[in-house]
Amino acid sequence: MKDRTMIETCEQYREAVGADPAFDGGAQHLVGCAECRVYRDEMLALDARIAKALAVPVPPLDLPDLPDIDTANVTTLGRRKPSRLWFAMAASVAIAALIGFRLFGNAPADAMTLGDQVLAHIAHESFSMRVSDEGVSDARLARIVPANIAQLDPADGLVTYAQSCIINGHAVPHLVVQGRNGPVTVLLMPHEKVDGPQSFGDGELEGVILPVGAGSIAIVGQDPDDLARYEQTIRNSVTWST
Amino acid sequence: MNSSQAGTDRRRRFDQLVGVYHQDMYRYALWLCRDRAVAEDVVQESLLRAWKSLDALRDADAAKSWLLTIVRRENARWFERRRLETVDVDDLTPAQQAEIAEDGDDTIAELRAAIFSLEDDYREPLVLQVLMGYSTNEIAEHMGLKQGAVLTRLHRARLKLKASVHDQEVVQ
Repeated sequence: MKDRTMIETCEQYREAVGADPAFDGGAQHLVGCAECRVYRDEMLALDARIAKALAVPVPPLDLPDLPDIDTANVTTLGRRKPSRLWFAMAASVAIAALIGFRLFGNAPADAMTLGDQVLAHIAHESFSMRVSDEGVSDARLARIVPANIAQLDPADGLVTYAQSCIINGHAVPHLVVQGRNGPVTVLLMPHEKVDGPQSFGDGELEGVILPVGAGSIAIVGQDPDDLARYEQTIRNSVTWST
Repeated sequence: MNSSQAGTDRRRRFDQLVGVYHQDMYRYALWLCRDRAVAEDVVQESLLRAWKSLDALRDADAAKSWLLTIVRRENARWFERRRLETVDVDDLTPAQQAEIAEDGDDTIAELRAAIFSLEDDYREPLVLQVLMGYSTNEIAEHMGLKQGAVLTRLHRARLKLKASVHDQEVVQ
């Protein structure tokens, strides 16, 4: 682009006003060029319409759960409410110590087990665990669960929630499938390797983390029969290990 | 100042920023990715990142630019994670079609579709200039381009939209 202060030709003027309709140079050129005046007016009118087109409606602000700043560089997970701190499946000293941490202070994220983090995340997005007959769109499901992560069969169950969430710093697909006896949460975690199946729960929810290739999947629900039903189904859908 | 008061002040500062710039963040994200759900994800991630690094923002006058830079990076990260291909306007999802048509004004909807179809290189500087009020110098800095490249892209973007509008008027 030429020096915008040196407008001598129509081409130079139109380049300048095309790049910025508010361009106020080239006054001398404009005086003697009716076509460029028309061009400028067209560009100004076009810009007004562009501005209107760009101003799409904005959904209401939905602030994420903001982590304590001391732990901000560790995880983006929100902490669960103390009322749900009960771990029926883990009575080890380590877990008891962890509960103590979380009841009386901020447990460091790396002290949380993976199951603990999964439960914390579900508590954080508890609104997702609702009975519904309204499925997410195929397009959204395809965006949240790319084919290189899993290929879900619609016959496996109605997916009523699909969101990209953060577990241990990695984005993971978070799905809720309508199970026979209630909603079932599925987290597909290709970055979370576990040595073997890990059961966990908090008295309200039961869950299992299953190893799949170099990653794992977490399945959480209220009814053990639903979990058992989805274990194999979801495992078969996952493609990252193939 | 004790840590509790500092935390309260920090949160207040963040809420003020978000209150002022949330609309800009969402619209910028939407025009970058052209997908409402993705834009919402990107804004959520951007807000988290902004919250974590709020202390790095020293100059309140730079807040808008700082937030939009975060949105730009988070958008890039989102697509890097998903490895999604660029959306073709001829293959818009129902959500995108709805986004375009939401205004109820046909001429605006058509222009919106034309903006959707612009190449990323042309659409982004246009959004920054028209919607965000950036100067061409600021766009150049934000996008890591020379000012001449920005001027050329803006000019071409408008020529494309002008031609698109003309075609629509001819059809009508």
